[in-house]
Amino acid sequence: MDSSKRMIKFQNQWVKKSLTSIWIIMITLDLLGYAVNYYSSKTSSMGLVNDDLLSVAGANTLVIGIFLVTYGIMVYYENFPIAIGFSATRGDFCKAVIISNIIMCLAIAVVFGLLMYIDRFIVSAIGRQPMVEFGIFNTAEDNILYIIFSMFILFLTLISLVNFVGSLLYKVGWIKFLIGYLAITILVKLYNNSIWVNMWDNLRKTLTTRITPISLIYLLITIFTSYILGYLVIKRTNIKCIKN
Amino acid sequence: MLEVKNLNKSYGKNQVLTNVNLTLEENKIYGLLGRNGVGKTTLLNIIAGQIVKDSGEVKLHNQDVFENSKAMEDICIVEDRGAAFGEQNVNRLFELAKIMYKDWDEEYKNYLVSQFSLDTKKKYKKLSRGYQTIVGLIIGLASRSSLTIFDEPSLGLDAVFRYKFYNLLLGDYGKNPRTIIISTHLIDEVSNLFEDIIILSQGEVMIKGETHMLLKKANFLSGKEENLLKIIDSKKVISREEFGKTIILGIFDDLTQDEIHDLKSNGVEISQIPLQKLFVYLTEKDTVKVGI
Amino acid sequence: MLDLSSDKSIYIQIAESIENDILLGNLKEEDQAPSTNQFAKVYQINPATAGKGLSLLVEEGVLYKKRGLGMFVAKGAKRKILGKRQKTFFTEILPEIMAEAERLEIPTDGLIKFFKDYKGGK
Repeated sequence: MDSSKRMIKFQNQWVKKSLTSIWIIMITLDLLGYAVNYYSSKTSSMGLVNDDLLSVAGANTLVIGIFLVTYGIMVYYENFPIAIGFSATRGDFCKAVIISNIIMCLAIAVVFGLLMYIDRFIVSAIGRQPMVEFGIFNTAEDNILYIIFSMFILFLTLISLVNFVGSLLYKVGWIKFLIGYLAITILVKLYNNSIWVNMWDNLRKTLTTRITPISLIYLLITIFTSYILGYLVIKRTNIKCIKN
Repeated sequence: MLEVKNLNKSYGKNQVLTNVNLTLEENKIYGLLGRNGVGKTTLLNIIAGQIVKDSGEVKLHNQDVFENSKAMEDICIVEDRGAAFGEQNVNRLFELAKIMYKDWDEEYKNYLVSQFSLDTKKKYKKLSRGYQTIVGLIIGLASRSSLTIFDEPSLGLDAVFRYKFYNLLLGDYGKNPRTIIISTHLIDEVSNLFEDIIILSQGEVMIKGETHMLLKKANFLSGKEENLLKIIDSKKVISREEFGKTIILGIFDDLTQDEIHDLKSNGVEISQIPLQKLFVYLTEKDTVKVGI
Repeated sequence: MLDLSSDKSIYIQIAESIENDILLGNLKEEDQAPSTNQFAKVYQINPATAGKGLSLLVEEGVLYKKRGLGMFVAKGAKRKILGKRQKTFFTEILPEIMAEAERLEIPTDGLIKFFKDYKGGK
């Protein structure tokens, strides 16, 4: 088995562990949500609520978001030093992270998609009005494959960005990172505020409208660039060791 | 097998390694000695691809080591990894090591675990300091990597475990030879394991040679000053003590049979300087860097 | 037994300990000498150091190497060792004693008397 394959196998050990946890969390929270909503009144609902509409599985997005951010950063605090400590190269490590990220996002998207798909039926069954329109997809009208695919791309975009942030955090530490971030934010705002405003606008649009070929290209570019930047940060980074 | 050429490394304004040159042969056990802060860990970490060098070359079997997976897969470094290992369960760490080290010997690892009575179900951070070190030692030994590096393998180990480790290391080395580098402060205890010694001093390689050759050159001469004048002039004197009417000189130089005969017939006693003392004399002038 | 803190190089001590075993009859001709790994294990030394000691004896014709099997005591080893040590006795040990006798101001006649009286003056 050559070193790339070993590195991928290593990385997948972590993915296996994490996937099991997130799946269990998602399903448990959903079951809990359905139960709570069944037994409580409309004013105290658990899940995504809009007027009378309810989606329990929809709230999973928050959980998944937190999970992906935590995971993406932990990769640099645990996986990275252990992998390099066990003689992996940073290049092989980055390749394995990308592959394992894809597998993980796909696996989460599949489960999430299925949960979303059955959500409206269960919500109806417990006597509430199901929410079906979620901006990016519509559970009543869309093909489940589209739902899974669109979420997969969004999750992957998120985790690729977190990956870049995580690599920076490992390399320069929290303090320098925050200072850098604030500095860039201020500079961009002063120099050309519209770039900033446009960026947030685009982000909002991406999260609330269906995926078009154009938006898909933007997302793919974002993913690609984030991973490249992550590699550039990490490729000459020292592993923190206790100097003697 | 391993070639380090003109290696330089500084941390900010602090130049830690200056033009370090080193050639290591295959299947020998090397001892790396040096005062605290002289750069032993830095050097070893650069060799093992953990830290980036500023300039120079590090080649294993004629291939650059850094970011070269073919070279890296022959290397294993064992050092203090508390920060990275902390949350992991010991079994898991061994599983991960088994995946990463191509020559990993699972049976041997199980044997070592029982030799040290290591509880593999515990989390790494819950282990005592000594057992944390042992996890690393087991990984290093079971990796069977052709270049295995131990940075301060005795940290936190009591005498019983230290001797166990030396025994296991020698035993395995005899049956499955590999190139081993051990950096340590417990010089006299480990000196018999080393075939060659490397002393790092003031950012450079001060000495590299076979242990017994170095020891041959390291002698105490004690006698009356007038009988030692010739020696003082012509040989490298590394220590001097006055003891009543005699002086005791520490010499680090070759002595011919004739010179020995002359000295003895003039009532000068010659005795061996132990390696640890020799090291102290040679490096006591190094400034110890505070808190890197 | 080896004295690891002694002045004598370890590999020389190893050679001498094997020679002693041969002289005492613990190792006879064609017996196998301990391997480098055995030395390493018992004395916690690098096997290469033990190897040096064994090689020294091979050079002197006291041991010989059987490929793949190890080191064995050569024919006439005991005789060779006796010869070597007898020589050392006269070139190093006795002169040391003479020097010490001089330091202690013991006359040569005193020494001769001692030798004659000892063991019935052989």
